Amino acid sequence: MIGLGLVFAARRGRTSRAAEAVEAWSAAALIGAAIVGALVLLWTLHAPRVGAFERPPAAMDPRGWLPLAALFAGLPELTHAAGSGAGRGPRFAAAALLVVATVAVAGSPALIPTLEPLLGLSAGPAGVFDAWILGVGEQVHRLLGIDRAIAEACVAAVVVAGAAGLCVRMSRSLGGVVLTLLPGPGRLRPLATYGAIAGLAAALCVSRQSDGGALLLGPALLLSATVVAAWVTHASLGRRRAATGILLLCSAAATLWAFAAAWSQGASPGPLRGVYLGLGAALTLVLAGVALLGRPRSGP
Amino acid sequence: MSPLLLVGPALSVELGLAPALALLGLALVVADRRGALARAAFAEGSALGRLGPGLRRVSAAALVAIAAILVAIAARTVAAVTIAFPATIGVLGLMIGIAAIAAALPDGQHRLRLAVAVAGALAIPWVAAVGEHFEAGAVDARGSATSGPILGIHPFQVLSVVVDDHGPFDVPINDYVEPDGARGYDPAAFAVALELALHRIGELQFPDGPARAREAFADATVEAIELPPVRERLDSPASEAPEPHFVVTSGTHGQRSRVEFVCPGLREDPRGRGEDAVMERMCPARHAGEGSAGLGVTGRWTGYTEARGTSASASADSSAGPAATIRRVAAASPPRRPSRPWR
Repeated sequence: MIGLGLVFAARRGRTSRAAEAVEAWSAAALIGAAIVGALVLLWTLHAPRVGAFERPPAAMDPRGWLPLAALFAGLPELTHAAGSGAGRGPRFAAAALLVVATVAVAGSPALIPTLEPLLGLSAGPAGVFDAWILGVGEQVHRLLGIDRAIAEACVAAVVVAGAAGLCVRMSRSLGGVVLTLLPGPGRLRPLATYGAIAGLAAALCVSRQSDGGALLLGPALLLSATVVAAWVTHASLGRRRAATGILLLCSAAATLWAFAAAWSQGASPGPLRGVYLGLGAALTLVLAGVALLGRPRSGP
Repeated sequence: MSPLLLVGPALSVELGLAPALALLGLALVVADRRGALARAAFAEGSALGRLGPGLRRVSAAALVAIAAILVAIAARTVAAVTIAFPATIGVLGLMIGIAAIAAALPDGQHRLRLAVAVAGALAIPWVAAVGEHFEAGAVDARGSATSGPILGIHPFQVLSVVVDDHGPFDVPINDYVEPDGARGYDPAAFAVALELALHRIGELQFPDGPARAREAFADATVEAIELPPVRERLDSPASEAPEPHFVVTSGTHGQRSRVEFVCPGLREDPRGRGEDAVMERMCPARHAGEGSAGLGVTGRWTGYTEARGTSASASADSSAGPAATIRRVAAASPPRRPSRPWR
């Protein structure tokens, strides 16, 4: 899968067209599933109670906050950053919202352990993700009247399509931003960039101490917000720079908080996890420091 | 997108459906808006172009790490789901096919590529259904358990069965079961009675679902078979006559399809059964008289053979073991005394 993401990473030519088609396919599958789900919900006028969500959670269950996390993480900016166009920096209000929400999300240290089972990274039949698919499949079977096994397979297939599209999309767009950030001659640079992404991802896949990378998902989402905040701070001037600097510090604090929360979580503690988290925290600090202390280039 | 779509429903249980849907809609709108803003802002030559070289390098490092984490999680999700639901493997083939078609189309055919992608998305349920059909037709698709030899039992012994991890349900046998049918049930009649009992359990215990549990019991089959005798004792001559056994097969298929026999009279534990139920399988001594030992379906005596539903290639599912795991539930042996360390 990582290899596929890497293969589709080229930004021009045939592989780029193929990657665009795969992304469109994945998005169409997700949209179709969402439409079917919405129709079923409207038809029956009740929310399905499935698997992991069946038990009413505590009032401030962090899972309920996750849409906010996805909403306010910096990924939309990052994935669009390599595009073309002209204009000013992102609006102040958007950056403010971003940081306030990331603080709110990071305020819940329970965010991290709930992510791991939701993503079903324990592949055994006891995985909660399986329970989620089985639960939704059962609801689809009951509401649409199709065979139970086929309903389960369809739900799982949509999940596979969505995750595959996400894999291609992330490796392409974030890798593209890295290439924009590090311009230079030579054909080796894209190869090195995508190779680094694929190598790190492969290492994370077999990493038990980070639960296959799941432990790092929350910090990564927040780190993406910090990156965007750092760019905004670096590019802004005058009074606005002070305000964006404060926002950047808040964002960095939220990210560090997430790293600290991840420190105390995880199934199998060990020294390597500390190395991951320490490197991530150091990266956050350096990012904030460089953005605050550095001066933007003059001119466009 | 993935966490957003996955976790959106979480809010519904808590606060009702409307807030979750509203939040999800808001998330999509705002994400799109921010994306448009960012496209304008971070274009080469504007905000992104003004970043200093130091910040560029640090940001690049951070982005490589973020991309690696997200790619790893997406890839692992794909792997976990395709292993847990082998019927979805075809979807990956579909993806590669779409990529190949899109790559082969000449440049500028944007609409055609989009049409291919949408057609591919519409084909997903079909591919999943074909995969499921293929899985259902696989050899040993259904999990089963073969009992030990029926040596003859007295009335009111109890058989305790777990199908697809639902149960255990105690099935009392209200008459003799003899290998030759001299008294009470013969093996074939016993199989019919047991099958009816399992079907009834499905109707009574799971009328409102889970559908999987109802299917597992209501479509379960029990078959009486004869197997060559096994010489279990060296101090007596081997029997020539074949030994009657029975095979209970789950009504579902796939790697979650599984039939187990456990010791009857287990307490109902709200926490469910543990990961390794071997010790629960073995009846305590007080059950030796009235337990199901005569049917050879507990760990105390001759044991039974369990074949789990095939999980296709099951290439990477280390937790479930190899496909069609056949294992002999070992006869009980006295606990080994811990040996003292050599000094």
